[in-house]
Amino acid sequence: MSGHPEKIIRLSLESDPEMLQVVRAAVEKLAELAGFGEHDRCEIVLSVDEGLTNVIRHAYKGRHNMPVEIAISHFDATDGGGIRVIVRDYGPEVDPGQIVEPEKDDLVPGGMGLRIMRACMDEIAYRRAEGGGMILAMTKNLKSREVEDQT
Amino acid sequence: MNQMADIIQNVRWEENVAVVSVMGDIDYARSTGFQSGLLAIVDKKPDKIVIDLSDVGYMDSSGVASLVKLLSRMKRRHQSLALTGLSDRVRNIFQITRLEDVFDIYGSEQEATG
Repeated sequence: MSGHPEKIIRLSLESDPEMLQVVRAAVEKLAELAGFGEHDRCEIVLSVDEGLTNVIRHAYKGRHNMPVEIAISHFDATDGGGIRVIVRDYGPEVDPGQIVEPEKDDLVPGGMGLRIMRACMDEIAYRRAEGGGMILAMTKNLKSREVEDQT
Repeated sequence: MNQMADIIQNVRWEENVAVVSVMGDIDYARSTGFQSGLLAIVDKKPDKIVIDLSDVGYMDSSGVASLVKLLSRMKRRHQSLALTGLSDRVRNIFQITRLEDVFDIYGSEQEATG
């Protein structure tokens, strides 16, 4: 690790869809601080929005008063650093292997969100959380995108 | 709060073409109102709906899903749908979801209504 220390935001909120815009604003600002350009910030914001929407829609079946915890961190590293997002819900556990993208012609909204997250972030993984619920972890690296943009 | 009225800012009829101006972010919180507003216009039996997204700064998959449902219903009724005024951010989600070619997307309202 070098340069700036890690910056982290922890949000504890209810599963109210109106909170999506609040979370988007926080993510946008942290991604900007981390040094991501406009296009990458758009992809990070969209991915977090989709992850949280999937929690509200699927894990909590549209209930608006269930707990969600989000941690967004800007990590700095010798290889360029990036941004890491954790979304934790307390809904039913799901076999991570069963969380799959639909085919193009089967436009299930939740599946579309998964496709978006996979396309926009460098790493995305679901796992069961200790004590119940699921954790969605996503990472986007600064360096990989810069290198990609130069090719 | 009338969510539908908040999103659908204006509907202008040019003969049998409805030009619909939309405003604000279209996410899971607002997509139901967005979809309801558009489906109500479909029921007025236009030959074509042009959706102007110039004042939409953000759209997620909920908004795209609403448009897919609208397009599907309109195709069944032999009506057509055109989109215009997409910002780079909004256009990006159509590219990511590989739906850019599914919709008729135009650079200007004039092209879209033609």
